Amino acid sequence: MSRPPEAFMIFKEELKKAQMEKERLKKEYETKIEHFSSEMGILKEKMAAQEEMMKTALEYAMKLESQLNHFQDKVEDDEERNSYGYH
Amino acid sequence: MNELMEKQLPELGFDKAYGNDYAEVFKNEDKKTIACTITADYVPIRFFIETFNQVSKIAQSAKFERFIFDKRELRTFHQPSMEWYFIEWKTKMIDYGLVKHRKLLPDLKWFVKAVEIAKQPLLDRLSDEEKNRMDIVYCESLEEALEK
Repeated sequence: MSRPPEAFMIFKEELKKAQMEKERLKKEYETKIEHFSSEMGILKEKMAAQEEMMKTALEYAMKLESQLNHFQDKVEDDEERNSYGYH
Repeated sequence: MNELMEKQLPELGFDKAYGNDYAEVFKNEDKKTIACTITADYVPIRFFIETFNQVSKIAQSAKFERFIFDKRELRTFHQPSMEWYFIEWKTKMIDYGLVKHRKLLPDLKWFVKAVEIAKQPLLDRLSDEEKNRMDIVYCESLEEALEK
């Protein structure tokens, strides 16, 4: 069997190098995507936590508002009663 | 106290026992103290649990009674993490004798209030015995946390 031409050998070598480079780039890309996905996950978790903090703070403020309104109603009611001469 | 002037844990005789991108754990056997410093403005729950599991491993030796939790860098807390820390982790630490909790919060009123609001329902879930055995004090500096 005759030896393959030198050009073919060079081509084969170049092809092997290109395949190795492709594999390297693929792995690098996958690592970056994995890192990016992880960062995204953390950011999403952080945003959800911030949303929860805001929700809790607003619920607390609404509770205080309701207590204040209730207290104001009570004061007005007492003032009205006092105007009828209960004191 | 100005944080730049404040002595850091290694200067106070602590050895680093663990660290990740979000927190560092130190210990000082002479002072019977474990300290955890948060180094980021947010700690994802996976890293939070990992960090506190490392603290558990150190606490298992039962040589420690004080735990300093320095969360001055924190700006967002994750309610499920806080729940796990408060209900599961802290009660488990009682068995190891780690009952003196000294906490350092950011110098931000809104954050302190947010923690207070979120903490109350969790406190209600603890038994009176558990509450009585936990000695929790909020401090301004690491040195104060070591003294109080």
